[in-house]
Amino acid sequence: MNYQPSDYLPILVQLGAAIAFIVATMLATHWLGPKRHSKLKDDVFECGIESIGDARTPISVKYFLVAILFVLFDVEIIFMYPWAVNFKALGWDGFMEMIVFMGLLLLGFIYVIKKGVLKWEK
Amino acid sequence: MSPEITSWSILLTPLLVSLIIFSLGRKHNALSGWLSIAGAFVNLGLSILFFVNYNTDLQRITLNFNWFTLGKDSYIFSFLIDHYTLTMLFVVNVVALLVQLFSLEYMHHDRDLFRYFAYLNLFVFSMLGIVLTDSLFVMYAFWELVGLSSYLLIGFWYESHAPNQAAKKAFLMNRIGDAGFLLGIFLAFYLLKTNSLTAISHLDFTQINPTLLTATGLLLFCGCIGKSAQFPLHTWLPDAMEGPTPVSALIHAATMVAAGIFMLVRIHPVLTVDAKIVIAVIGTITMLMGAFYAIFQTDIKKTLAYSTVSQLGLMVVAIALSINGEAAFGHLFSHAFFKAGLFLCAGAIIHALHQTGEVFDAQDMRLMGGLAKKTPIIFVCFTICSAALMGLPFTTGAETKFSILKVAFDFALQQHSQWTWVFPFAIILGISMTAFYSIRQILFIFVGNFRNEKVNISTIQERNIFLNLPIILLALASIIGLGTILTKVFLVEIPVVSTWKYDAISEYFAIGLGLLTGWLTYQQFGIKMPHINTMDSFYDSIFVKSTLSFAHFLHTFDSKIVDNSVNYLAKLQVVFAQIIAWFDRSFIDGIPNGSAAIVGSVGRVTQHFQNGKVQWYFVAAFLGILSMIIFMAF
Amino acid sequence: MNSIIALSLFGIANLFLGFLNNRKILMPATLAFILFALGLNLADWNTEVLWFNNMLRTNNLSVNFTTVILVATLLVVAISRGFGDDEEHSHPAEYYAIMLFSVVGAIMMVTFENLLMLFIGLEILSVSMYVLTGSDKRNLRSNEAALKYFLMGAFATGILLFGVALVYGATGSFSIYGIGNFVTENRMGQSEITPMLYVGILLIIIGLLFKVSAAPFHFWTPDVYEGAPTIFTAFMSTVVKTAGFAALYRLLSVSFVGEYGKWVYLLYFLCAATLIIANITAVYQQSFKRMMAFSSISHAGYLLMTVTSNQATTQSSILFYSLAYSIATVTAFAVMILVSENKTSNGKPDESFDAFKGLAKNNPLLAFALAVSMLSLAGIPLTAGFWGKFFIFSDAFKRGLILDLIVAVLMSAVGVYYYFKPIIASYMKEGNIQEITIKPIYKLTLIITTILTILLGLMPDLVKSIF
Repeated sequence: MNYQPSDYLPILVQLGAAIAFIVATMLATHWLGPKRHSKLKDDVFECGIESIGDARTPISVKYFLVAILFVLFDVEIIFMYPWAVNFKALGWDGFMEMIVFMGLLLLGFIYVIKKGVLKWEK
Repeated sequence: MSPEITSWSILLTPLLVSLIIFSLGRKHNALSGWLSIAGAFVNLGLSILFFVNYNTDLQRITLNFNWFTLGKDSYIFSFLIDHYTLTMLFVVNVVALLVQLFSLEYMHHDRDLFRYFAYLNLFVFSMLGIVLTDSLFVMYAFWELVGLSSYLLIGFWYESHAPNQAAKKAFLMNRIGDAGFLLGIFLAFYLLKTNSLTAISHLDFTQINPTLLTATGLLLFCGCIGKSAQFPLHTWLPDAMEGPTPVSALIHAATMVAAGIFMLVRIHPVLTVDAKIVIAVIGTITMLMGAFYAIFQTDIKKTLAYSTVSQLGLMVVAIALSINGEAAFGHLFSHAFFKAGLFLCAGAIIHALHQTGEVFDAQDMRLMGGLAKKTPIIFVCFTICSAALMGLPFTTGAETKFSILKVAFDFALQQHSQWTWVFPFAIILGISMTAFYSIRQILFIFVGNFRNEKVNISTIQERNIFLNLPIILLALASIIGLGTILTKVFLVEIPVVSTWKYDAISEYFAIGLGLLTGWLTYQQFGIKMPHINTMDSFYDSIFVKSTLSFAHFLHTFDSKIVDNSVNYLAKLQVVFAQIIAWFDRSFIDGIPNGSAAIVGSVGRVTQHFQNGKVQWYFVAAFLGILSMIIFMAF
Repeated sequence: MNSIIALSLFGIANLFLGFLNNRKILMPATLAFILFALGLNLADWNTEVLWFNNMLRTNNLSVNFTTVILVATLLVVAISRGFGDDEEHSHPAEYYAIMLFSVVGAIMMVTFENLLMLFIGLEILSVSMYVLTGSDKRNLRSNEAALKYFLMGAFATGILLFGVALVYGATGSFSIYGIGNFVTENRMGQSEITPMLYVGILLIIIGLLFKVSAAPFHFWTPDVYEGAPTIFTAFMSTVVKTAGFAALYRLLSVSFVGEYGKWVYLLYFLCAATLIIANITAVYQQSFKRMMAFSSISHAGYLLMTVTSNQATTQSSILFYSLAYSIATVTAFAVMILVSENKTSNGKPDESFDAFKGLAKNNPLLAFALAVSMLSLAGIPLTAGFWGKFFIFSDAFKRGLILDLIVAVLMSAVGVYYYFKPIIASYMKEGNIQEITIKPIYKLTLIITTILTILLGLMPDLVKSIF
């Protein structure tokens, strides 16, 4: 395992190519695209609805809680993919481990519900 | 009783008493004193028993107890029982007992009496620990405890400002010395591969690097500089007089300050010739300075405090000049009794003056005078103890001081070099000055007319047995009779190779000169000693003026330079802390928001929190990492 | 090992106990949980087992460290007093649960066999601490402290992870013994070591130094300690510190011992720098809590000294020191909580030294406990702290770290100055503190810690022989 600096050259090339691509596309859009300014055009895009007030309004903390919970339970699925692929190879041990994992998540879910996080109106 | 049980019970009795008194609390104030005295009495009995049984042929007994093991090294809690130990046990316990007896009356009205006696016992416990132990590490532990309990006792009257300051000063000064002492112990352990005093006394030092050995000796001596109030850390001792007077008698005359001397006696074999010279010089400076300041004090306790500093210097010189510590130890022994006696006398006088009910500075000697008629017992005892301090014949002080002088002359004769004669003659000068201030103190307090107009002299009286008994006993222990018996029993003959034939004559001449000039100055100037401008006579030009101006200079030197330099050291530390804090404020905290942009997006997130602080933590950390990488690379 | 599983389940159980609408059972339950975990932990004594595909290792060392951590947690929980009566804004069940989870992380940090486990443990511990630091939601200082702690912690974690990756790249192993073997064999001269390994070691050390707050990575400590609720400051300065040093020590003594010559000088100077900066700055502080923060940094310096010396006795020195330090720190914070809540200035708890003025008059127990803990932290003999310092100094001495030793001795002398400030304030200053009522369990904890401090000061062998 004796590395020479030259061994890293491909990585450098790759890095250079990636940066060059980004720079090139950004520059290209600037040059190629037509530019017509008007008040309507420079407005913040809001699905066609006229934007009112500032975007930085305080949002209920419940929104973040729900969002975070969604991510949490969504990510959990990722663990299940490799487990499902190797289901037979892992055997009963793997099954029990997944039961424990799901059990813990379930407890968390019960806790969340009892805590009233999902009650939007309160 | 086996020596193991005896030594454990001697050590632990005061601790036990202290704990009991503490747990009884303020409700049992009256009981605490008697409990404490009972404990001291038991301890004294045990010590005497111990001495009688084991002082044969100066044998050393080492008792080992496995304390704890650290890997392969086992740490042993060991007692070293020899002649020194047994004698010190006696001294500490006797003085402690008498002082507690005295305190019963003296501290009678204090509402925190239990705390006083508890601290006192804690102190005795730690002092006995120093005396009994065979290990330098353990000695260090007790050494710190002695400092702590002394701190508590000096600051006993914590409601007022001065004792607090004095206590803090004493503790911090001691800490400076202790830091050196600890380094010395580590160096000694590194060099000698042992911390046992017994092992050290049997070592062969020829194989050891003499420079390092000298450094070891001097670092260990640092502990003595702190505890025994040697130059330049001596300034805490006079300030410590803010504590209760009996405490001054026990701690700042008889025991704690003697701990440094005791330690030097113990580590005597480690001291090389070079180290001894340094120690002797410091001792000489301390001795002469102490005596000079003593001349100028008007506070009865401060005179005694400076006199203690001077006598401790004398002991240090004696250790440095002799082949073993016997001479210094002898003086330590006699000094413990007569100086404790002097302090208790001073306490009794202060107490008597306080009893008159008037408000004035009861320690100012200028407001005393003519007390001999009113307090005859104190007068006699004070005179006896002073005589012992001066080294007049028929006192214990005479004998022990003379042995130090002989040792010094012996040293000078052995060295065949002219300058070594400095030491014996410095001692003679010191003796002369001691006589000078002692006689003046007696004259100030007891002779002449009573100078305080506020107080009617007829209201002053001494009648309390608790005050008088300890004083009488201590005076008896300082004079021929009981004193002779004590010195015969506890002290050993000091070997001297050669003697100078005029040694005795020169000593008595010095004392005589001191007494004469002291008396004459009193006759001539009364109590107005410090105002040297008004002097116009014979003494002025020949002896007194030069002495006084020099003394004055030294006093200024002491209060200006020495005190200040210690203050400056403290200030320097504060300044350093200020600099770091300033750095903290202005570089870490106070960089304006504008520059936050440099640090980037992280900065923007936290910007509105607190003036962009965190980013500077990042900068500091980043610089740290960078410098570490550079450091690793090379 | 079983204690990890148990504590995780207990944490969840605690969350559900919170629904019972009875706050009073939370603290006893948590204490019982910790005691149970302590029992499980001690049951592992004298067994040497690898768990989870060689991810964690249980041996006597890990049991000892776990014990120290659990004892510290126990004491902190005992002085937590159920986190007040504020129904709306405090969530005791969650606090206790997060504390238990963070202890799980701490235990993983002392039992790890695989660098990934170190990382996961560290993250569990750190993330829990970020949350607890910010748990005083209404206090701006607490929020700020949490954010600062999070930013600095994330930075440190990144560096640590980068270091782990580089070490893996250089040695091809995550196992600390695997790395150790690789390093030692290469030292023997089989092949040349790539600089990648050194950079990796360096980054891992830096990452951990962040966590234990050694200079120059200590800047976050005072702000975070001051901002966090005091109870969690106590938790942080005991549990996190112990776990961090355990991890640092295991890594350096097992994995990188072959490269001792490379990292020793680095730690040698960092140790001296930490001691000097922490102690000198502490002198200047007016707030007790901030002083304790600098004190915690300075103790990191002392612990770093024994790690640097890398002696056979180092592990027992770290253990003893951590135990002594934890007990004293918890005591000090416990007294401070009571005093500062009793005496408020401008509506906020007064955390300056002045708050202690005259404490001894009506509250002798509190004043005495405070005094003993301060003496122990200062390393005055006959307290546990003295022996802690003593063991560390003798380790450093055996290795011959003379510069560190001199600095440490001098700085412990400086330390006395600021540790005495509260003692002086409580015993020797006039003040008007009325008698503070203390709950029995709180009082019991104070008495136990005080007695332990003195007992360990008299007989260090009691625990030293086990460690």
